[in-house]
Amino acid sequence: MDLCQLITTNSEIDNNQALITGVGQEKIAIPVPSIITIENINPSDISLVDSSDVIYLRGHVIPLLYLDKFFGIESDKKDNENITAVICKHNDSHIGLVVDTLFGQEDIESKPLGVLSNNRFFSGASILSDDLAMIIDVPALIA
Amino acid sequence: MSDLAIREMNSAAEEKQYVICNINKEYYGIDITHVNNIIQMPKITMVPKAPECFKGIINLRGEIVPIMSLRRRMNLEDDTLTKDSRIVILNINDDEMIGVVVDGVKEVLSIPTDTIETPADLLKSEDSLIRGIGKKNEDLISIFEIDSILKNIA
Repeated sequence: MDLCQLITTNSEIDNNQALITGVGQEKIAIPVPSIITIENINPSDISLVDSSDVIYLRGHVIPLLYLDKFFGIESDKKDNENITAVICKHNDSHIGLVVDTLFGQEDIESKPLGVLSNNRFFSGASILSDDLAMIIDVPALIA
Repeated sequence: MSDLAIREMNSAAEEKQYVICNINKEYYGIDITHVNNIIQMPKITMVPKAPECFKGIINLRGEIVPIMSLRRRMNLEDDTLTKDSRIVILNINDDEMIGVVVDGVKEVLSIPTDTIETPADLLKSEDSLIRGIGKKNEDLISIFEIDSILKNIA
């Protein structure tokens, strides 16, 4: 009985784990199952393809998506600093989500956004201990 | 006793209660049956790529509630938050809630339904949120049509 419970709880935790990241003053949760790695990237390793930033990582060309610019969030990030990219995968496509800070992994519960639930980039929001985090929908960003 | 009950029912049919808020120095009335709650300004988490008139979401006792700026919705200048600013939580579409930001909440008024005038056609535009104009002494009170608040949002 105890063992069963342990296993069930574990599998639930795996599904609901998310990486909490910071972009400007906002918190963005990235579901762990979509994440491949987290990379610290030197600006000199970024190349341009079709006027968008990409990195070459382990045989893959991965486009970078700067979440602050994409979502219109003010960020005090300076140029020429190393950037943090969370590399995500959906089907065979990769994307590098550029964030400002990493807060760590947390077990989250996704709450619906009510009248805002038609927002295609977020699957919901999560209540953290002192804050709210928007849960990003990785397949929507890659598509 | 039965007389009393009948009289109360009659008056309830003629009058409705409205929460009177002020926005941009004008008075607005919200039908109290739609009002779930009135709260002070909490921290609002922005929702990127949401319609312009939404300021974001808040955590209301464990539920996520989207917050709309009525000023943005009515194309007024953006909110300046003061200590009087409040969020009025409205029940809409059966079991959903939204919060609307107002400059202040004044009182609850009973307004007889037959004294509420519908706005002249000239003033009434397609996307107007106002159902009618009520009066209290010298002040005019615009009565919100709650159902149209969510209509025609870009």
